[in-house]
Amino acid sequence: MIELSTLPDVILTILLVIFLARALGLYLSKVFMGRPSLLDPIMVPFESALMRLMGVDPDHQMKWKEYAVALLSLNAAGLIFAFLLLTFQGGLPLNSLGAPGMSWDLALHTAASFTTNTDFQHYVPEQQVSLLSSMLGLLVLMFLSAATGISVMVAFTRGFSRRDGSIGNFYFDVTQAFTRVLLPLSVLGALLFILAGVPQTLTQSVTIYPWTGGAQTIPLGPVAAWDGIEFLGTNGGGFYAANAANPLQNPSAVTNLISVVLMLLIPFASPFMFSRMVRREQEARPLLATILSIFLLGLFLMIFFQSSNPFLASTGVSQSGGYLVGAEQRFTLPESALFQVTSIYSNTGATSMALGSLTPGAQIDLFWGMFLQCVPGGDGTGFGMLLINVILAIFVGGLMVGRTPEYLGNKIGKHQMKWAAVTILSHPFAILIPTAITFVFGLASFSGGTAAHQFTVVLYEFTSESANNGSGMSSLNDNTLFFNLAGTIVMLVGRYLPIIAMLAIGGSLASTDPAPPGPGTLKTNSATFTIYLILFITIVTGLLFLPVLVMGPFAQGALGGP
Amino acid sequence: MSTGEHAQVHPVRPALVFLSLLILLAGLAYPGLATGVAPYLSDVTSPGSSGGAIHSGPNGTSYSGYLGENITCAYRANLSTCPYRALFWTRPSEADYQPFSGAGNESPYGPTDPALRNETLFYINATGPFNSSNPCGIPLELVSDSASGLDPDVSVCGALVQIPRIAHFSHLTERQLQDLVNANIQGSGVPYIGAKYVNVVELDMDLIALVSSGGTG
Repeated sequence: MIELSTLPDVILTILLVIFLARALGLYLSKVFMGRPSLLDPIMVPFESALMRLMGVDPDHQMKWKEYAVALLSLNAAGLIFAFLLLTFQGGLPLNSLGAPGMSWDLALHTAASFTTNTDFQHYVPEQQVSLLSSMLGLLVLMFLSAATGISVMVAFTRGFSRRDGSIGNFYFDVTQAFTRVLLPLSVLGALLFILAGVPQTLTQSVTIYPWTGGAQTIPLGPVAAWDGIEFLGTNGGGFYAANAANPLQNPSAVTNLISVVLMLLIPFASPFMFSRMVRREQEARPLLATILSIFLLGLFLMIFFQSSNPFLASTGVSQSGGYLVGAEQRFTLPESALFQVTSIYSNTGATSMALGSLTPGAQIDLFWGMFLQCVPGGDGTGFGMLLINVILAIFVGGLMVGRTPEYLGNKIGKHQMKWAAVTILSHPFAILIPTAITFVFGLASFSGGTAAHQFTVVLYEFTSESANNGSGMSSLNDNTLFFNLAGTIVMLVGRYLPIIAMLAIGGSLASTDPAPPGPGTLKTNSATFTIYLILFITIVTGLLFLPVLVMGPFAQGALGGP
Repeated sequence: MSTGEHAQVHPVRPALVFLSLLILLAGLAYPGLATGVAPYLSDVTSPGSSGGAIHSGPNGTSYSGYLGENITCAYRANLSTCPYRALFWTRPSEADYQPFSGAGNESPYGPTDPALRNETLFYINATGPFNSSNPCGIPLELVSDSASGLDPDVSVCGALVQIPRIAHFSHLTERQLQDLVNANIQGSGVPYIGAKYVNVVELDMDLIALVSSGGTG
């Protein structure tokens, strides 16, 4: 029954990602360790000039607090700039379609959304964002948020191998992430998208006269360039409201696969970069195996659950191509599922399917990816979240078998555990409290749906915002003062609390004395540890979130019986 | 390497300088350069695609090869008043295929909503009694919302299943219509990637041309 005709291209795409990610991981480790690398001849003079302009000595090594202040200041500057741009876009140039200035709460939500790599959109891009805001505001923030995530991962990684309490220089990291990684790869991605047929123009619209009568205005713009950083940066905000489902943004199965490769590239390169930077290359294996096994299981379940919806069986309609309500016909089911699982599990949040229409099993599958946040998760922060899970798993595992909790020659102690526990617990708090407030005070309105569906939609909204994912289910009217403000808080907590924790853990590891491996050391480069890590992550996350799933998607599934 | 406190920098100046650099490079140069090369690059593979794949049709009409049109009477209970009864239909759309509508393109119904089943039954019924004999059945996509509300495509089966209705309301034979559908089957252009589908907007343009040429083509 399962439609599998294009499964080979799905499997080949994932193999290609791993192959490319391995090469990129090596390149990233060179770039961030300051070793000679490919783009040196072009970039070095430019980067030195930039450092002088910024008044920064790139060799100055920061402690974690200084690093965090520098990071937060730059992010705040980006957020404020985009907020002003969106608020006043109505009177600014490059606005031929007449997008009015956004209300302050919508502008705040949008600016916070793109700064935090969430890219949740409470607005209709076609009608509410000018070309100027798109380019100077949102496009810029998509680069900034991805560069921020990569910097955090690099600084966190340094904590494992340094002993002087420093974790690097933020300005060096964020510059390298932009000039050596994001900009060149986005250009490459944009050129591929153009070749594959994605529109790229600075014209904001074109009028056609269809033979069915009348005239139609088609919104256009720099879509290929937008796609490039939307996917590479695991951002996920659409140039169009329908995002990667809109044929103008994702016109063919080829562009669909290019998007998938771009979304997975940096998250899958991270374990390779990490293992090179801590000088233990074998340690990439358990991390990659953990990411890959949970990701592939998610993909398989998505294809399985979307292969038919038993609820429609009695209508006599043929579901031989899969359950295609809310899917696009130019993609096969495995291709649609690959895009959607990739986008949600990497916390990109772009959609090529209507998520509210998915079968209950598929919806649970997507929730699962956002609860975990680390298989592979977004650029930089997803891998950081995996390392936090590793620290927790080693501490708990060490206690269970009576071994000293150590990882890569670092003793895991009270200080690291405190930050790791706060990070893991902040996710359910940021999701469940606003969801409860919404229903207790009746703050949500919907365009339709059953009670279980409406609960699912609100739960999805806050899960997506806390995970900095950015996908949503459309039947919720979310451009309200409550959802804009609550969403802004949830996104900021979901982004910066884990980032501060990662920097703090990195800084504290760098300040502790080395713990040379002894007979009591837990061996992390082993199949046993990999299986333990997978089970640990699954059980901890399951315990945190399963109860709330029962009230949403599980209840929807129970209604869909025979 | 120096780790001394003396080298700490005030974070405002570097933040403003770096943000300005991003605005220049990521906000202006990147989309600007991509736009500059786009017409030349897209000409290599699919001319005009960088401008939205706008093609001209007969009699001063035009269309985008990427977007569907609202060619369906699935919303009507009565075929006799339908102007498109002798044409192939696109999928139903919450947005009526308006490319600017943006929001509300998706189905508002969850997967187990009785309203979804009712809507599906209504669309199946509206496609008429002419389709029941088709061996591949009524495929779901023909009677359900897409994700974008703009999907111009249906599966090959989704086109074939409409042939009895079109043959009934036109003077074309089922054989002619089958040939027309077969001539319009498209894919991604790369082997083993993508679904096989029919672009209904283009299929109908061929159909209209065939009818106006007297149906002998």
